Amino acid sequence: MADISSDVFFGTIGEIGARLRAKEFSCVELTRAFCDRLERLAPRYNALALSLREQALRQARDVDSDLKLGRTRGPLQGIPYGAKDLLAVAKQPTTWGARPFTAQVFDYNARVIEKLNSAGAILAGKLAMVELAGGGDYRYADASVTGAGLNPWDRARWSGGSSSGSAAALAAGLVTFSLGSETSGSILTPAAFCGVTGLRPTYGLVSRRGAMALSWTLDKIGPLCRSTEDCALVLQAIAGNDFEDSGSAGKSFTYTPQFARKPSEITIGYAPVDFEAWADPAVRPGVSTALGVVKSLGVRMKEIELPEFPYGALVGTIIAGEAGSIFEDLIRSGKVEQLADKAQIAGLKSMLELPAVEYLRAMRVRTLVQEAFRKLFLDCDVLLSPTRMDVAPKVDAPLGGGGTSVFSAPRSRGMISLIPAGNLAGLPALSLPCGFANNLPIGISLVGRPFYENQLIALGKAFQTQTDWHRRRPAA
Amino acid sequence: MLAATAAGATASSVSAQGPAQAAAQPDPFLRQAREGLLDDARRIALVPLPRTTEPAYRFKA
Repeated sequence: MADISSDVFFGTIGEIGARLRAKEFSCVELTRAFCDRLERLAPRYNALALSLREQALRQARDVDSDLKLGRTRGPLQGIPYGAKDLLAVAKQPTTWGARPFTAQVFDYNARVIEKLNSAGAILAGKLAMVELAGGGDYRYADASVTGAGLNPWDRARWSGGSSSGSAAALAAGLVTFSLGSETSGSILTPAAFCGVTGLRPTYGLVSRRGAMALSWTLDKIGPLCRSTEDCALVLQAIAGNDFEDSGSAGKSFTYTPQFARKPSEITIGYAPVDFEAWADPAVRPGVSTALGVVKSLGVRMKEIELPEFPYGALVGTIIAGEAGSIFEDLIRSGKVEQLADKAQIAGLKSMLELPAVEYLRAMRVRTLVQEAFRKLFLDCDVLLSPTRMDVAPKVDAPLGGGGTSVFSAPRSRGMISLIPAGNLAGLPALSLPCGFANNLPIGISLVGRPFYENQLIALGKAFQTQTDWHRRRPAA
Repeated sequence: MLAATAAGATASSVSAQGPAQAAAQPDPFLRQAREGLLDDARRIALVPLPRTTEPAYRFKA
């Protein structure tokens, strides 16, 4: 019996893949060890929606057979991962984190699951999430059929949402990577709160076929990983054109670090006020140090500010228009009342009252937002900001209060709204762990122009070469 | 237009709850959600919008 040590549970895709190919352990041994750990520890964090042990072991046996025959399928072959429970897995429950859908079963796999199957990755389990990805604007962290997502760094704190289990399971060493989704912040926020690396791809780069729709024009699927390079490897496997996703951009992604521009050729736009005033006082030292590390890479820095738009209101109205239609049956049937969070129930019900003209006005203003970002990216290549201005909130605290008092709000808006703004414009973003505040992880985000993932990844990799925050582990 | 619907005048909201029940048991969460939508609409309406601007309905990044 091979010894699967904690180094393996917290290893990167490259590290585990190398040990697998060196036959230090078999894929079946590796998968069994991860499944044991996932089933034993994930309930501590309310991170598991469904263990897929039997299916995973079947996949692992196939990988072992392939490896014996010398059939290699790339860097993800034999690597255990978890998927947010909004992704369909054939013949298994897909609950979308919501009580009305606990018996829902699809007879097909989501496209990203298919692609990872083809790459030889091992799906160990489905991971918990905020009900319906939080589209109704939930008030409390326990807005999920699996309960509040608890943070592996401090179980009295929230793991973030809506990809709660995806980030918590990764941070706790229960999977080697995970899939999450983002409509507005649902990859970046849990990545920052749990101290892992999260990549939100450009809108349309990754197919949503088989994923719960919350907003057709905002939803994205992306990886949460131990390192930037791991994000690149997963993105390469899941990206690509899909005629069954009307939002598909018709593009694929090939990880090409050799063609990335040198840091000295990159201009990074940032707003000092984000680091000095918008960030919670406890967060400022960590994000300011991270800013210093980015500067030390040799990039050019340029002070900028986001164009002035009501980003939060735009995202809220667009989600209301689209989610109201998507969940119309749930709302009108009254089954919406089975959801856990009262604010979310009310938010979904109110969506049916949104006039079409308001939705369309928001979508017209969104066109102006996209034009404004095109102009902004004439002056810089990448935007940099703290991912969140505060640390993970207490698990029983009402959400949405923000970390900075309105009474001390700075005069300059900086890039305080970068999460909704970047989602409206469909931009890729990478959240990197950058330290701790009050013993809780914090992160910074790099945001690029559409389909600029390779450059974000190159910068993220350079940052992680200079730092070891992404290597830190929570106490057992 | 949102103001009228937020007052509870739409056919869907009335028929879903029943007018008497809605009047007897005002849901503070629903009121707050409606106010949120109204507030969002007010903020968005402040953005100068050229008449020729089309919605991003064929959204491609």
